[in-house]
Amino acid sequence: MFRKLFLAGCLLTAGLVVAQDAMVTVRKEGARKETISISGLQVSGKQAQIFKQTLEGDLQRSGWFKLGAAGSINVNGSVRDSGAGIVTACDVVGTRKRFNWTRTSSEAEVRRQAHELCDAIIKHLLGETGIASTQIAVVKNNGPNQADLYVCDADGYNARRLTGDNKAIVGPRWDPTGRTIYFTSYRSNAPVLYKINAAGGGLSTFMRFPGLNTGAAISPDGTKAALILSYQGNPELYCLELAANRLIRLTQTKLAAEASPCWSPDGRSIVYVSDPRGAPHLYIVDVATKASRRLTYNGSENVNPSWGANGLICFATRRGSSYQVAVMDPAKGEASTQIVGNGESPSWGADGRHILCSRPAGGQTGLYMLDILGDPEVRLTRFQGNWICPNWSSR
Amino acid sequence: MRNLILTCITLTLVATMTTGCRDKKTTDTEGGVGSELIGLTDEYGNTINPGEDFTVTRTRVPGVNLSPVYFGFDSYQLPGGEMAKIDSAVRHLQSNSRHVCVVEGHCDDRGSNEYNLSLGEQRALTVRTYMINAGVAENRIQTKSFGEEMPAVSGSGEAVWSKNRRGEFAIYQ
Repeated sequence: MFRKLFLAGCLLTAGLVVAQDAMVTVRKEGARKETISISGLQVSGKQAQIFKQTLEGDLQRSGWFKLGAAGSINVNGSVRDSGAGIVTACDVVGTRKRFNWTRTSSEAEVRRQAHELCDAIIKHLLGETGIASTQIAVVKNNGPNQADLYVCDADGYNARRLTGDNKAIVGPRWDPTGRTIYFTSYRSNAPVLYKINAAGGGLSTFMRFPGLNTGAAISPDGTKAALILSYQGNPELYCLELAANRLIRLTQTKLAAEASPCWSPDGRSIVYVSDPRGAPHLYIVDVATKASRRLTYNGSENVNPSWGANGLICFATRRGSSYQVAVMDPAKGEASTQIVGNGESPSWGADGRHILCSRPAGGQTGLYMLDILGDPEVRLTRFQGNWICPNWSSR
Repeated sequence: MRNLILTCITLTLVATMTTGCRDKKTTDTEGGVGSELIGLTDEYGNTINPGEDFTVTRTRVPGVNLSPVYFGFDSYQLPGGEMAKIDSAVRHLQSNSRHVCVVEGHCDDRGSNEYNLSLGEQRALTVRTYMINAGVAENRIQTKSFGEEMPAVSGSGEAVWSKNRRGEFAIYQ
C-alpha cells in the first residue's frame, strides 16, 4: 500500500499525470499497460527485420506497453530493405490520436530509426518522454588503473569505445545536448578532467589544476559546470561559468571532502556528496546564495546522487554491507525515501521512470535498469566484464 | 602605425590564448599544466594562478623507499602507529633539500568511485598537513588522489582492503 502511495506521489511530483483520470489509475498500478500491436507492420528484408525487432524490444523495455496481436494502439504499414538501408512507411493509430511515420534510412541508421519511432509513439500517444533514443556512457574496468570509456544505445547495442589508452576513468557525465561527455581520466597519470565527442574524437583537456579535478556536471542550460577541485587546499565544490571563464567556490569545508555534483532540473541547485561528520551524505546547495543544507541522515553512506527531470533524486545508499538504489523527493525530505533495488552509481533515465545502475554479480559488474513503477529490472546482457559508473543521457 | 599593428597582433595573441584555454587538443596540453587555465578568474575578478604541478614539471627520484601510511575504513584520520612513517618522509625531505614530495592517496574498492577520489585526496592532505606541522615547507609537498583505481593488493576482504587504504610518498626533484 505504501509503495503504491509512493509511486502515486512520484507521478504527481513528476508532473507525469495527464488530464484523464483513467490514465492516472493505470500509472498508479504500474504493472498495467497500454496494449499495442506491430503485427500490421509488414516486413521485407533482413534490415527491415532488424528494424522491427528493435522496435519491439524498445516498446517492451519502455514499460508502457503490452505487445499483442491486436491492441488499443496499432502500427500498420511496411518496412522494406532498399539496398542501401530501409524504407519505412507506417501509420500509428491510437484510440484518440494517430500519426504517420515515413523515413528512408541508411543501413547504419536502422536501429536508430526504430528507437526514434518508439519514442515518437510514446510522445504522441502517451505524452511521455521515451528512452529508446537515449545513450549510455559507461566505463569498462579492465583492472587496476586500466579502463576505457564506452557509449552505447539504451538497449545495450551499438557499443563504441571512445578512449584507447586503457587508463582509469571516473564519473563520465553527459552534457545536456547529448553530444559531449565529460570525465576524469588518469591518462596523464593524474586525475584530470577531459571532454570528448560522444560520436567519437575531439578529446580535449577540460580542467587541469594540481590535485583533484573531477565532477564536470554541465548545468541544464549548458552555461555552467559543477566541479570538484582541490587546488585551494582540499576537495571543494565549484561552479565554473563557461562563457565568462569565472570560477566560483560554493563550499568552504576544510574538514570535509565533496564529491559527485549533479544539477537540479531548474539549474538553481546542486546536489552533492560531503562528509563533514565522517560518513558521506547528500547535501544541496543553492548556487546563487551558496546556502547548503544536509539532505540525508539515514544509511551508513549516501553517494552518487542523480537528480531526474521529474524532480526526484536517486542515489546509492549503503544499508548493512550492500549498496541499494534509493529514490527521494527533495521537496518532501528524507522521509520520502524508498529503496527501488540493489545497485550502485544510479542514473535517471529521461523518462523519469527507469534508473540505470551497476551491480556486482557472479564475479562481474553489470548494468541494470530499474523501474520505479514496479516492472521487473532488466539486465543489459550484452555487457560482459566489469562495467561501472554508468551515466544516462537526457536526450 | 607600427605601434597599432603591434597592438593588434598582441591583442589577437592574447585573445587566442584566452579563448582557447579549455578547448585545446589533449596533445597540445598534455604536460602543460595550467596552460588550459589561462584567463580563468575567481568570482572577484582575480586571475587564478594554479601554480606548479610537481608531477609535470619535475622528474621522479627512483630508489627512495618510504613506507606507505595506512588508514581505517572510510577515514582520513591518521592512526597513531602511522606517524613514524611520515616522520621518515619528513627526515628525507630535510636531508635532501632539492627534493619535493607528492603524497598519493588511495582507497579500498568499496563504495563510490567518485567519493573515493575525494576521500583519497583527503587522506593525502592529512599526511601533507602533518608534514607541514613537522617543519616541511608547504611549497615542497603536493597531493594526488588515485581513489580506488590503483590498489596495492588485488582481491577483497579486510586483509586486502587494509593494504589499499593508504598514502604513498612519491619523491621528485
